[in-house]
Amino acid sequence: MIQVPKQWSQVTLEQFIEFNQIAKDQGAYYYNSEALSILSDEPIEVIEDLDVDELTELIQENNWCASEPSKKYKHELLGMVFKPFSKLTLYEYIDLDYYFTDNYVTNLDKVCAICYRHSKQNEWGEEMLEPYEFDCNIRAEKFHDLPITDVYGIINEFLKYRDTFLKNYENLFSGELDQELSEQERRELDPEEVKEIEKEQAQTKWSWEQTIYGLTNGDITKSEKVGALPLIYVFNILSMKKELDI
Amino acid sequence: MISILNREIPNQLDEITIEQFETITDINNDPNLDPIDKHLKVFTYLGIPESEFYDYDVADFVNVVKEFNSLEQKEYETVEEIELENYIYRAQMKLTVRDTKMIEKIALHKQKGYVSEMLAVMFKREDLTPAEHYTDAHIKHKAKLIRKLTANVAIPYLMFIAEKISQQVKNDTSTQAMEPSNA
Repeated sequence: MIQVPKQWSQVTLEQFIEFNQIAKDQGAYYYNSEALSILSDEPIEVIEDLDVDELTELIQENNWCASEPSKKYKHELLGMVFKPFSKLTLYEYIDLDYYFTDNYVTNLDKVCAICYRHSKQNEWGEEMLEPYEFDCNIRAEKFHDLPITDVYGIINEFLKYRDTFLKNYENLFSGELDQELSEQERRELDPEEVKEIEKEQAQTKWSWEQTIYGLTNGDITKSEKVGALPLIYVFNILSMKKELDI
Repeated sequence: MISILNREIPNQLDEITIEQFETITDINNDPNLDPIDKHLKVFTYLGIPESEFYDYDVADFVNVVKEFNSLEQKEYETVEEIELENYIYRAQMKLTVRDTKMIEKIALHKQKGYVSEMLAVMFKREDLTPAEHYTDAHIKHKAKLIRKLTANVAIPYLMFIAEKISQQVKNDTSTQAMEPSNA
């Protein structure tokens, strides 16, 4: 008898990530059998031996999956606390931004590794959070067995935060120039314009590195120190530099 | 069989091979051909050169096409056992998830010979392990042999597969059911 979870709270983060990695272009039966194998924790061979009608029945019984998990998250997990986004450092934000841009569902374990921190009280009784000096990939594994509903809300929360952050500092972010120029566009543009666009594209590609390079005045040995500074402080300084043109 | 331009042309399911059935189906599904071209190509494939129809009266051609397309209304018995190269293969009106996944894959790619490949998935040798049965090379080889059988063998199985797939389409929500939306 194949046991399938009855709600998202019975699905782990690891299962959720696997679930999102199933290829969607291989057909419905491929997708559904893989999904059932992941959710029930049964080997794919067990699912493949089922009669196709049994599979259809199981999927119909489990259509709760069609809804999204709750957009909540816990503030304390595995003895760690959630670090407020307003307190992120530059490097933490850069990594989160990378994981979100790449795929925020399949990277959710690494996102958790950045967001949840050990804490301790200092001699003044204030809560100090563990610095971002651990291997994110190793830490991520600790979150795999947690219910997805414990952390899923982080996605929405960070997206909202990033949106506000980008709006607040929009003068520092140039428009998206990800798309390479097509041959036709190249022909239609003046060679000087092509050069300018390509330069902007290169700057977009290396934007974070360029920011750090600028903040350290080219002394890359200071990168770690700059990366550990609060994000908001760094961006306020960058805004000031831009406004005063210094 | 029907007689066209003094040639005997197979037109019933127990007269054409699965290979011929597949080719005729491909011609009929070609969106680049108009109905006349389709029939000319089918007749050429079955042995009547297109040039022989150049002086043919259109009304007569329409009648020939009608006659060619009229299938005898008969029930084809389901063939559950076939012998190929001295091996017995058996099929049932039953699909496992693995069978369906393979059939779905074949249907998605719709390569030449997909009908015989679908049948090759359904007809199994009892002395082979599932791993051996589902091997790509085994399925392809068996499909090649099945292609020589008459099309009436394929029809009940194709109907069965189509019925299963249409059930799946009807329950379209179940197809998508397991897919979570992104945040």
